[in-house]
Amino acid sequence: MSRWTDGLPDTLRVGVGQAVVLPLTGAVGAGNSWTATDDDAGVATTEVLLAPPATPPAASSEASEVLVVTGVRPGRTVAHLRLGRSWETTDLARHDLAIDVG
Amino acid sequence: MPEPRNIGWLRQVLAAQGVTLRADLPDHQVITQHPLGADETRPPVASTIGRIDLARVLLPTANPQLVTRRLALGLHVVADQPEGEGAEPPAGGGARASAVDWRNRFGGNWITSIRDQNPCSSCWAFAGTALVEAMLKIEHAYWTRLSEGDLHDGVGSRCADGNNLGNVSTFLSNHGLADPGCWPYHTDDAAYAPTSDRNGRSVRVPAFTWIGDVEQQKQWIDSTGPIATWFDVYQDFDGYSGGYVYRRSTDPDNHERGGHFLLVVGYDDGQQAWICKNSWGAWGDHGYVLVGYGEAGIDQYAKAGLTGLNPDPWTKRRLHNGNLYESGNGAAHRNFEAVSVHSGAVTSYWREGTSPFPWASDKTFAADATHAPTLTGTTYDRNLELVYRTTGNRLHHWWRAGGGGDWNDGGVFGPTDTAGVPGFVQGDYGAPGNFEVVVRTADGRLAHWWRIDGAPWTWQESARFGANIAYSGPSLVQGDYLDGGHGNLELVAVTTAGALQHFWRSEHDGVWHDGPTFGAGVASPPVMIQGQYGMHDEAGPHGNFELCVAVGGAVQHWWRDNASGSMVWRSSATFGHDVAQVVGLVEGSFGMNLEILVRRTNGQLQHWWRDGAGWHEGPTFGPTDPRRPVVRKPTDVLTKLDTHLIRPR
Repeated sequence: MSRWTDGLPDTLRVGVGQAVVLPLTGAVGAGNSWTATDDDAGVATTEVLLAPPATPPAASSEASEVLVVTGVRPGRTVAHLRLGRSWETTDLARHDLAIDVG
Repeated sequence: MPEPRNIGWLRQVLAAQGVTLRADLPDHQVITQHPLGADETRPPVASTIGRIDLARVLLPTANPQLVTRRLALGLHVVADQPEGEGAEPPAGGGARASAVDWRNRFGGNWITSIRDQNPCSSCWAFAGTALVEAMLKIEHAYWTRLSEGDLHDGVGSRCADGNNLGNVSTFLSNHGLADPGCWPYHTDDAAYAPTSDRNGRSVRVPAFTWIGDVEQQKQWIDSTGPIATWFDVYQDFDGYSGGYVYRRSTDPDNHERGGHFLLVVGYDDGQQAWICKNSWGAWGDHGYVLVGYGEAGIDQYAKAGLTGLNPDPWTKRRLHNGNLYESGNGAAHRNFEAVSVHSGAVTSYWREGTSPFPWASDKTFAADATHAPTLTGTTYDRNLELVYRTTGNRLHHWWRAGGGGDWNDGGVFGPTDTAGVPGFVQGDYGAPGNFEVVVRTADGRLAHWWRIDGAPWTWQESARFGANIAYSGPSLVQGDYLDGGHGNLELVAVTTAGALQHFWRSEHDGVWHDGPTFGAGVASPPVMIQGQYGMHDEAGPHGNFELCVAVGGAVQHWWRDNASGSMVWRSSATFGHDVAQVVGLVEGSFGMNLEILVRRTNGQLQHWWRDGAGWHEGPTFGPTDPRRPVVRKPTDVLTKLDTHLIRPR
């Protein structure tokens, strides 16, 4: 666990046709972004969305991106989350999220 | 400003895709975003600033190339005259350059190395620090490494916090900026706890000048230096890889990620682009990016310029030795301070750092000095401190507050058989750093003494080394060859055979080592510094050692080639006349000129300096032996200078 992955669950349950939103602790100021890859997109899909500045401005927060997990059909899959820079090979953080759809 | 995004918005987006968002999330909950690095306090809108009077805002510069540029631009002020020149150059009114790049200007680089803020949202601290570092190189001709962490944590920000250039300007103008040894860059939200001598090791920084007009921003870059800017970062900025001008994609999926600060180090009208230094490590074009004019809000807000920096003694500590020191005093923050001895008394002198560069005497004190003291500025609130050999063959320490006032007796110490001119530096052991002294003793050896950085301020002998030493001098330097985290101590002394011998001590074994000998026929103390010739930027390579010594009534200049790594001592030039001893050496603000003071055979001091054209003879001052010093007022010689440019000392 690290400051970037604290608060992220190891396992997530979501219904078919439902979406769950997880705030991601980001480091966008230094050029980092979250990416997610799915073992089985037929069970659940994941998408990282960038949240632009709120109006009025929110107080400084460490949540800069959100992960939207959508259930597709019953089953289990794993989403692999990576926080890093596109021009570097080393990651700031990694996290595997098990997704149960049912 | 983009539309607010909350759970209600996300619910709608997903519903359009046939997906139902979990019901327990309230629609009004904002999907918060940390604002990249810049917070929402943007710089002033450019159009609200209006045009500024550049000729009035710009302070005198000692940078000879910039003097020429300002003349061409019609921005000349009288105090900009290069050192030693009295003629009034013609005013110009030429157009600004169509392209400027401070990474390669006037034949060299002026920008410090690329840094990496990762993973914090601290672009504002990095842009501010980069601006200060670049302006120190441009205004005062030296490379230095300052601390983004001192600024970031001094302001009170956490790693994830954004901030703005207004707060940067306020902090810097109130507190200055220290080096990483005082407080480094942290990414773990460590509580700010700089070393106790921070005030004495901080560059003093005026408030930023906001420049709103784009044409004047270019004029500022052409005539003065880089500027810091706001910039809206979009997602496609991450992928910039260099070799082209960045213009943001208008794809609707290319979302804004927030505000970001960069340092603009140049511009290119041909490419219609700003040349910007980022703080993301090896990103983009070796850390740089070309941002198109007007792109992504870069010209929407005023940019921040900086002039009139006041360097600290710590980051210039290797650039002076002997009885001559360039302090931050004076209107241009480059006064020379000097000390000399006549009939046992020490007299302090100073030279104003602007044309016509008058020397004036200041205070006379002490009664037991045998020859010119070794002077330095320290991190004790910028004190001036000196050490000399007494008539009783000991060493004597005196100090004076950096801003002026009387000299205070720091006490007698050292070997009872002192028999030479002491080398004296403030080292990097502790903070404030210990004092280190090396001096010849009557047995022809060298004694190393040091003073701890706190009560009871005890001086202790550390070692005796060398043999057959005839002269020691103000030639002790703690260089930038690091071993065990501390710089090696380096020293050159004169042997009884008339050769110069280099000694060095590393932290690794704490032992003084014999180095090579060079030169011949030397019969006076040498003066040595580690200058910055050969350095590409603050990260290296090592600057050369420079040494001057009197031989046969003239001055010999030697240098050791550190930059190429050959470590060979070479003779550069012999010049001067009627020289009894070289007593001070500085690589100062005037375009890296070497400046020396010599004691003439009649006892007077004389200033010589070296620029690109060679060595030049300067004025003599002080009394001839054995008379007492004649005190002059600086106003006696202010015949041409704009007196309003001189601040009270």
